[in-house]
Amino acid sequence: MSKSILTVDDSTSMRQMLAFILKGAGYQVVQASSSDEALSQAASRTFDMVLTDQNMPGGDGLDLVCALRALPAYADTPIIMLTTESSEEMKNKGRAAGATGWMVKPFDPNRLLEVVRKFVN
Amino acid sequence: MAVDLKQFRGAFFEEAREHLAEMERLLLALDPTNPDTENVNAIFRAAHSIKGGANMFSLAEIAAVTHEMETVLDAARKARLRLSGAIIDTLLRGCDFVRAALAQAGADKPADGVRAAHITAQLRGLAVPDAPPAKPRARLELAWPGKGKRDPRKVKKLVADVARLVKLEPGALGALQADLMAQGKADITLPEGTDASRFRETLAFVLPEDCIRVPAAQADFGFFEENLPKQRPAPKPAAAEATKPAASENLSIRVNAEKIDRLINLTGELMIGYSMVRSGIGAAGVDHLGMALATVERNLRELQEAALSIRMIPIGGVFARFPRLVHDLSAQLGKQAELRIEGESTELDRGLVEKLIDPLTHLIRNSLDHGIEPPAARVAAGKPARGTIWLRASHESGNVVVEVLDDGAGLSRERILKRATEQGLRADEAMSEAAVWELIFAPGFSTATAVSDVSGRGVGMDVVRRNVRELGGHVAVSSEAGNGMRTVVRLPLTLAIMDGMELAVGNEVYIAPLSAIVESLRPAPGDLKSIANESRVLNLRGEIMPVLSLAKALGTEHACKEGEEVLVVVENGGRRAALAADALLGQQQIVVKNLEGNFGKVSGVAGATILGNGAVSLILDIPELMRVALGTEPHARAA
Repeated sequence: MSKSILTVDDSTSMRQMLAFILKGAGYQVVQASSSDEALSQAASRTFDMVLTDQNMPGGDGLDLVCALRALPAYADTPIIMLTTESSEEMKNKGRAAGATGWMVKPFDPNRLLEVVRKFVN
Repeated sequence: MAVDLKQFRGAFFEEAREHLAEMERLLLALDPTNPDTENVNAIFRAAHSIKGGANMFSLAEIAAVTHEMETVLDAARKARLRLSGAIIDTLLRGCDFVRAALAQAGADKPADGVRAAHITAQLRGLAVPDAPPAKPRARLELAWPGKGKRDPRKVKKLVADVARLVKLEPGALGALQADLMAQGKADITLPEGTDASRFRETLAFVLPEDCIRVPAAQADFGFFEENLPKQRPAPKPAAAEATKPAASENLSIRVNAEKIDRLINLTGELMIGYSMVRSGIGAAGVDHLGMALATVERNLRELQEAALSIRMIPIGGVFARFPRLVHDLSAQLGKQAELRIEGESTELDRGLVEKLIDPLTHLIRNSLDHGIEPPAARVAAGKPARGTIWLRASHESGNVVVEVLDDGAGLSRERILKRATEQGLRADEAMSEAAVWELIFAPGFSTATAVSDVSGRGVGMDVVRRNVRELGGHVAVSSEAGNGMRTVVRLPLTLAIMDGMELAVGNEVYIAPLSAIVESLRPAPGDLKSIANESRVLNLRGEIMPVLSLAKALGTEHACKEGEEVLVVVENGGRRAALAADALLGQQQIVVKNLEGNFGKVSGVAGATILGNGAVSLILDIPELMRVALGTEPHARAA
């Protein structure tokens, strides 16, 4: 059975692109447009990986990472933050929240797949 | 794998347009002397989102301009920059550029680089002098020499040594120590203006050279070693609990408009088919199917309502453009005016929405140009210097009512009469107020003394009325000298379906919209009187109104004699007339089919439908028939 990835971003075009890239590589993709929606999805099934935007209205990516890590099913799930800034401050916050890694936007689709394949294939 | 991301640009354009609309709305509502921080934040986030997408799709000019806007907004929200009307205007111009550039990108045309550079320079000029310039600072990667367990004291000493040589950010020392202990390597960020390779030489005093690396390029991804699977420490207590998903207040999806139209068309066809079944069954008199039929009919009506309601969208979308128009135009005309909007959530058929833009734009321009006086004149008249224009929408018995009001000078009876006489229109002092106001709807009419390029070209109110008529509605004005003017536009809620009264005229069946019918009657002989040129009038309980024979107006033959007709009293624009038909056949809810695609405009008729027996029935254009009845238009004849 193919692996499932939860993508979280408030931008429809970004979600569509991620879905396109990931589905093309054979992954199952579920989209969420907000932190709340993502948690709702995460509660109904266990994804193999989570990719999340940082800047979203409502709960941001860091909040989502914290909340996911509090769920037993997601203690070890690879969670990657997609962010427009890669400052030390942001990285430290991501690390503290429990994110597995980060990737800067705009990103190279092949690079994204590289990172994803490192954890799920 | 070659990934073509261009296909997602469409979605980005839509999103960006929404962000732009939000930015403009908030910018216009901002009070520079006391800006709402939440709103400034929202504008900032919107600019940031557009920038992100622009970068993703290589739209360099949009990215550059939104980046500058973002910088200004960031400074504003952090209170490092005080907003002013001029700054807001510059930001609005930035929005205009982005909107234009999006349109160009959508049409695969290149953006205007010169304009982009211009706007960028203007935005940069707004930046605060002490804003920290965002230059990426050089970094070095340090590795702990040697393998095996690291001695905390030795790590601490190294960190102290490094600190003496490099001025690090507060907190960086702790991170350096933690990283070296945990992972055996760490990054440090060098102070501004420091050259990484030169510093490497300096650090070589305390670390072996091969433990100091200048990263080849700023890494665009990375991992937190301690959070990698299988190495995770015990789950930390969550800072935020897993929140329950908020009740979706406004859950919505995007649907292709063509799909909606097809769905609605199908429900219409279904209704027609159902009518045929019902009339077929009725004729055969099979009663026990009555219950089944009633159920199907109920379901069909609900389906139809649901489908039609999909086409309904809030009028606020159309209204949203007008604050900007008023803002810019009032400045241009040297007037002060404020636009107040009410009833934005009033829904109407999406087919109507686009077509309302032109007439409403003209009405608002009119108010600003001719209605609202210059500030000095207003103050002299005891009014506040700033005029107000109201834009209101509401529902009223099956219609959407849109009003434009202003507290300006109002219509001038004398000027209108004078101008009408000049133009050779019928105008005299004895005319009632309503009749005088009607004059402004004459083609080419305008009382503007100088033709301003805004609205005085004299192509105004007659075009507005024509546009509104085409939508099946009508427009009227009223005014009070010195106090202002009010324009009311009434439109049917939807063009697609209607309650109608079937009228028999000769061998034909016509439909009259139920909303226009006041009453129907068989007149007593004394109530009808003939007057000049074969016209007749009806005396209905003291009210006199013209009688129009539908047979004559539509070119069919009456089946019954004069005097055995049934009269249907209709009302439109405050006037009444009686239409003479052979018989009333009953009420029907009908699906309106537009004729114009196939036949062009047909006199006296505003569409068609298919009856239960499969015959085509034409829907009467009540406003036009009334004009014939009132003698303001020559007789219409259907083809």
